[in-house]
Amino acid sequence: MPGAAACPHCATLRQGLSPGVNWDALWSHLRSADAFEVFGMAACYDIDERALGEANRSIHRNIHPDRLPRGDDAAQDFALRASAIVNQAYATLKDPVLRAEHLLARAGGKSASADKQVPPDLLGEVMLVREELEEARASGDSATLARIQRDAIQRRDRAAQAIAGLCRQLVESGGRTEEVKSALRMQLNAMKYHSNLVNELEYPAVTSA
Amino acid sequence: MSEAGDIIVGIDLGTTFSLVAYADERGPRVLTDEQGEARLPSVLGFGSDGRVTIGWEARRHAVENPEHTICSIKRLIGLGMDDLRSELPFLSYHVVKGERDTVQVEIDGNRMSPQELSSIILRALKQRAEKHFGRAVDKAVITVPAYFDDAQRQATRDAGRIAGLEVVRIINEPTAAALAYGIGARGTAEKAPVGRSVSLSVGDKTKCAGVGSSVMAAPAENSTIVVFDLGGGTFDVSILRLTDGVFEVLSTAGDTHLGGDDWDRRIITLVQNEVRAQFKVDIDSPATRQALRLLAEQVKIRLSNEPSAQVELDLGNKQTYCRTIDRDEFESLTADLVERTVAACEKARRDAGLSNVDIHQIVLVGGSTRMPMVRRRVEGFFERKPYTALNPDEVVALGAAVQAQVLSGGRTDALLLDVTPLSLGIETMGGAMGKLIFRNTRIPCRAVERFTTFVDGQANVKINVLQGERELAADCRSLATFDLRGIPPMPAGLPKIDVEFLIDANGILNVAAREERSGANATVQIIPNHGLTREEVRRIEQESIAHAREDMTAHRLIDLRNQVEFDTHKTEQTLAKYGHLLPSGERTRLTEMMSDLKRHAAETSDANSLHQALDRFGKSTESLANLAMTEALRAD
Repeated sequence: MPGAAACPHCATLRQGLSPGVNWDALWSHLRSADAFEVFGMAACYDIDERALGEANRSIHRNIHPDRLPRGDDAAQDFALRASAIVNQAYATLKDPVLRAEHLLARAGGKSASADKQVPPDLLGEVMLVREELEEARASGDSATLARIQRDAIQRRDRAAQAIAGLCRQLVESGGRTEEVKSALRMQLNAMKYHSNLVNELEYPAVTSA
Repeated sequence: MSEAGDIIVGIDLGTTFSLVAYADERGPRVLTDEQGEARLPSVLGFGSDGRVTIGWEARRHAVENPEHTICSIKRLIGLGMDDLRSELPFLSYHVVKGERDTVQVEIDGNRMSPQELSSIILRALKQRAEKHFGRAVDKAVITVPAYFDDAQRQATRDAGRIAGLEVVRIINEPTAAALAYGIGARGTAEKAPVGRSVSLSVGDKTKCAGVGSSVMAAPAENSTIVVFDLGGGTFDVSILRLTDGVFEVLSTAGDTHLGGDDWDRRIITLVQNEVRAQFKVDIDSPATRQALRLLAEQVKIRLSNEPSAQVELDLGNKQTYCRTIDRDEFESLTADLVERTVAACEKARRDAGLSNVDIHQIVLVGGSTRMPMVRRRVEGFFERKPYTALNPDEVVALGAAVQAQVLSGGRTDALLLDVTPLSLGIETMGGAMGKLIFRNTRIPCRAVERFTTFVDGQANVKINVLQGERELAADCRSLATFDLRGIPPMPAGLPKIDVEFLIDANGILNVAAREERSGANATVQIIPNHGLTREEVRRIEQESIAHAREDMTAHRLIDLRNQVEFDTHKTEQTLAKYGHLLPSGERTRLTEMMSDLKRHAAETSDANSLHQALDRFGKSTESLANLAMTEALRAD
């Protein structure tokens, strides 16, 4: 797996476009560029969020539709599509789960959602919690509700730590270890269950609306 | 900006008031009318003679002329009949179903779309700007509620086009407000005069509470700001992070049918119910709807400053409805409305992934944030005192002007990165909503989806494009049907049609389609459900250009008639004073000319001939004028 991405095309996005830029060439590069490459960052799980934010703002200062000539259709068309690609890349790297999924995709093989595997004891656990939750809600047992919420947050945070650890292993191994990938897929799928439950408990009104 | 450059103005097209502003090196400022008033009531009056009055005058005659007075048109724009069920009982004018799922306003048998009606307000603001600059103004940044969907944004842009304005950008109202605040905090521009902080609000109309000490608490250079924007008809809350001049919107939430109008309506319903109970009469005619609306608005405003307000209503037949509403009663009557704003705040805060400690500033925008109950609740929810240094009525227009300055190249130290307020998707098999772009995604954004055919040789594919958060297509808003045409004939399932959904910086959807195997670009015909087709916009635009010419002639005639009135009156005065010094023939000739000119002015519709007649009269009075001047000097 490649480390730091030093792509000259993407570098111009951050540093400023040169006059007479070939929009088509830049676009055809950018549309298939890797998210880490776009921001000139090493492809790893632990990223410098400040640096990511800085790089993102720098790029938008150079390519946002507001910054390119209003009357120039080619420039505006590039600005529109390129901004969309950069926004997507930023969203991918900024969110830890999406970032992990992206590292997994770079390593090759199935995505977590295509694989559908979960840790063996997850489904039983989820069913029990759901039952308990329904009971607590029906009887208005706020102490139990609070405990369920605490537990759910704890499980979510544990899954997040597991994902982080597996991602580090994945990058170190050069993305070749099948066991790591498989474990990562399971943890990513488990993460979905946990964070859905946390959201539902934290914002019942919003989730049902 | 150079004199030859384009002037781009910023326009806040509001439910209750609209404003136009402009920004240059000295900072943004609102453009006022002759009376020094920046706000133009978003009210239109249609006279029986075909004359249209706009703004304060239309508002003054609203009660006498209820069915011919159009207000709060923003609550109708880009919507269909089904969206307006709860709205219609409160409107004094007649709304009918238009083409597809659009609505039209019917005035004396004439039907007009909300876009056309809004364009009349926009044109008035355009003319105000033209008068101010002494040259044509045909480009504008127009603000919309952040929570406006695609149809409402397109409709607003179409209104601009009909008014003869190129809408160079649609921006969100709370984002505009943040821009005005953020830029203000940074001292506007390096070019600003040293030693004097640049004032963003013009004149002394700033009446908002909290001015003075709270000015000290301006947003820091890099900070996280919540903009709470409660206007006349719409509500938005946006959370932004400001870093080195880049305004990144983290999340937005809101309700496009929640505003001061809804607070008024609670009072209206209360009064209607009590009158019905006490006097056994229904007060629901168009005229009373309009009168009640104004009364309710006054009561609401009074209750912001005083603990109680008196309501008195003359019902005719010597019957008078009279009662006192105190603030507590009003607040419990409308408590659920405030709670709806709080629910949206919670959603926005969650989507931004923040808690109260991460937030540095709460900014209040919109006239309805003057209500103490709103301020109290917002302060309670975010655990922070809201900030209101700028006039909440003007701040959105000022921000729009700053963005206009950015787009004209006049300012490079500010950049807005906004989000789309609603998820976008397509109807999938079985009537589900398949989301392609999630709400609060940064714009511009893009999603590509592959489609294929179900029948051999199928040449077109129809896609139902949806916006909303619900799971079923039927519960979301259908924006339009995209008809992909020109697919090369192939066996079923073989074509690979890649459809690109692009939301641009205006928050407006653009679609392109391409068949992958043949490389053929499929044409996309868009049939908007709630808006005007491109052809309809073009037709109305052309009609309005023709009208504008008529309007201009009418305007010129009025000006000339006034001039005739003024000149003849002055001449009569001079004649009375110095006429005895003129030969009697000359006196008679002038008197005759005057009555001829007055008759001409009253009868003619030809502005050019009246102009010439006025000129001739002016020349004929020269000798009298010289005489008067000499006499006056001698008297000294």
